[in-house]
Amino acid sequence: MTISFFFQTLISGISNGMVSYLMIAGVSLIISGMSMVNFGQGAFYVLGTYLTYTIAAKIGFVPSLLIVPLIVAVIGYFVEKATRPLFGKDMLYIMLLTYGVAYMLCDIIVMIWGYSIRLLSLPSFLSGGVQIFGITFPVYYIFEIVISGITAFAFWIMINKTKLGMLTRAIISDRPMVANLGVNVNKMFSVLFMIGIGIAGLGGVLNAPVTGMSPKEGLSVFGNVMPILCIGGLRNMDGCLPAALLVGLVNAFGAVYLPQYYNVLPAALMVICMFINPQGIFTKREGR
Amino acid sequence: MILELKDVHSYYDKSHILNGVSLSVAEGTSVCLLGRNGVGKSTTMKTIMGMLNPKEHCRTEGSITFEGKELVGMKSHSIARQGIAYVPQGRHIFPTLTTEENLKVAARVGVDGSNKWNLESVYDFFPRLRERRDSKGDKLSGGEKQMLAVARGLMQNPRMMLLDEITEGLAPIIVDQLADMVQTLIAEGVTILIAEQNVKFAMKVSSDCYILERGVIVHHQATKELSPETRKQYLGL
Repeated sequence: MTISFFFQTLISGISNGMVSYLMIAGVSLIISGMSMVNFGQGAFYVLGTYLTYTIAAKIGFVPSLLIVPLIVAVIGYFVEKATRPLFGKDMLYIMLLTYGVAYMLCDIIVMIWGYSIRLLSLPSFLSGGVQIFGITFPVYYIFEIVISGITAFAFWIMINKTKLGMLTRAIISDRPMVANLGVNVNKMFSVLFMIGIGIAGLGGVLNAPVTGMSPKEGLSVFGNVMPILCIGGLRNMDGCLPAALLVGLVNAFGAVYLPQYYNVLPAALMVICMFINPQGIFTKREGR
Repeated sequence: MILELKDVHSYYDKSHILNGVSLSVAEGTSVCLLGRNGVGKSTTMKTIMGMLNPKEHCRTEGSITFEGKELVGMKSHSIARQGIAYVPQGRHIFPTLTTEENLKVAARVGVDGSNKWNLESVYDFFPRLRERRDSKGDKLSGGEKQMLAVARGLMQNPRMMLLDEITEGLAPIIVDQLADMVQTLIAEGVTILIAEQNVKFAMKVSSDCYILERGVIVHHQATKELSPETRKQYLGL
């Protein structure tokens, strides 16, 4: 492997990892704050991609980065409202329900956009390559890393520095007490769900010019990123980014060195990590 | 009367916990609910806070008014927003948040727009919390947690505070500090309803007391006038 090929693989791994992070960050936020696993996250991600096909054609790609996540978040708001009666019930209901929502969304995507797989053409300033230390990198990968990096930073600020983030961490351990402080927990859930879904939508936008997606991938794409969630720790929002990067890199290098095992790599990694710490390898172990 | 309970009945599923509790708290005073374990003191507090959720098969009947507003049927967070700060039994400090974050999540201006209790004034009132501001909630000692729980209540700039067994499990010297603190709060004009088993503490910090037994008020008197016989009869002391 030449140096330049190594760095190109590295960058593609990081950019893939960052896009996966966008999907998983929302899932993690929703698990942590609301104690529900949103199995429909993948559908919102694909919805983001498909909305981008239409909206980017009208207003351009860069504005879509803002508009599409907002639209996805608003749809998420209604989904959250509709699923609320099941909150606090058996987790199985939520799993089935969110998966059912994903099914419906995917079929709606088929109804609107059809089955044909498409690929968005990039705006000129994002296509082509850029030379760094004599090695050519695709501009778009760098762009993905920057946008996801900014989002990850904003997400970190939200969780650790804002009142909403503090309340999200508080609600994990003691939901009734949060209500006793005068916080409308239902309203807060709506906001958390919208943020979580919106970030997935952003991932979908960034993905639109990279891989063509079939609408039905909304059901399977979540399975691909589930290992990231387990590696980072189900309720550890800060573990998502390193876990996503790890899986992104393992995928990128795995494709080069172990192409025949490519599909099992994330799952294998997950199994190994769960042997090390079932709470996620990026979760601090409790002192004993 | 700032808070008035009239014939309040509470049910957990089919168990009837409060059997018609009536009590009242005048503005600026401190009233104490005394009673042994399991007589319904905490349930009274939770009932006031609207925590007996019909979703969990709980039910409240009767009338609870706060400044004339009916609280029965209101959601917990709306009740808190009327200006009632609840310091629950067991403290319920958020373990993964630092001391300062535990205070910040509760910060709110009062119903009258006052912001007398903010991070600075609360730290001045509890200097120990300032020293521990960056420690996670689960790393605090019992006494520190209790101070934090009360401080968190104050951050809401409440009209009234409900203190549920705040002396539970604390060393006598800390209990004395808490008594001084509650007396200062009363002097500052905060109305307080305390649920207690510690009669000595109750006598220090309250002017009026109700004794609960099996969900019914069996005795009501000025705390200072509680005779040793009454204490023995109802509290086994």
